[in-house]
Amino acid sequence: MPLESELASLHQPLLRFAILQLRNESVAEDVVSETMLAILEKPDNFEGRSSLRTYATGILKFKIIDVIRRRGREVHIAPLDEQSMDDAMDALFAKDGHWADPPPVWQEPDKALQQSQFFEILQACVDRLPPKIGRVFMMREWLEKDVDDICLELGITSNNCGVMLYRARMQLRECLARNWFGEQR
Amino acid sequence: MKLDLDCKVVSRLISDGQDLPLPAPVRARMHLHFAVCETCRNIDDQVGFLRRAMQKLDRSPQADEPPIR
Repeated sequence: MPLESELASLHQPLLRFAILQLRNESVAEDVVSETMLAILEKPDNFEGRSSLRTYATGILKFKIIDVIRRRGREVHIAPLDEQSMDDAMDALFAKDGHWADPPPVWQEPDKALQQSQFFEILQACVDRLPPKIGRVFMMREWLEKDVDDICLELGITSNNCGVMLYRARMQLRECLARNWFGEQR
Repeated sequence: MKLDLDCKVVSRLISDGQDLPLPAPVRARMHLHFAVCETCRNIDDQVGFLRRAMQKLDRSPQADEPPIR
């Protein structure tokens, strides 16, 4: 497939990632366009060592980080109401601090990593997170940024950041358990 | 911090441990809890698995158009 048409097929998935991170469709379209332009301008830099998807995503990540950095503290994620987050977490536990409904072990989870259907479920679970929590989680796990940098850029306290990541992980764990690992509740 | 941590505290520590190194005494107490709590060991494994899965999210075989549910 020629580079142009292969890139065209990546446009939508790249845009989804950019929108999720930037929460602004026109800015997201800009960074995706810049990414595609950068690849088309220097096609020799992509030598087919990785998939075009991986290559383009790598470039896109840097462009997203640039935008977030340029915005600096202007982009302000309002801190979530910690009380309401705590309440949601509380429901997972009994009064004595034990699991209200202990989650069972997952059978051979690494096999899931070989299956494209699993990643569709994972993506759907991430998409389902509340926007602010999803964004902090993606900055941490997908852009692989340090928590300190995330807190600084979003102007939130490290405890608030920690609470959001905790909530994201517990929700995603639950979502994967129900939708992939067949936990019955 | 009391010696015997409960599952709620441990689950938060499991998450925090993904982002920052936990102080050694806290880590030790968490592992003491793991020794007696299979569920929290499972949660620790599952949170670690989540990270591995996220690292592969954009390198998955074909995740181009995940269905919107």
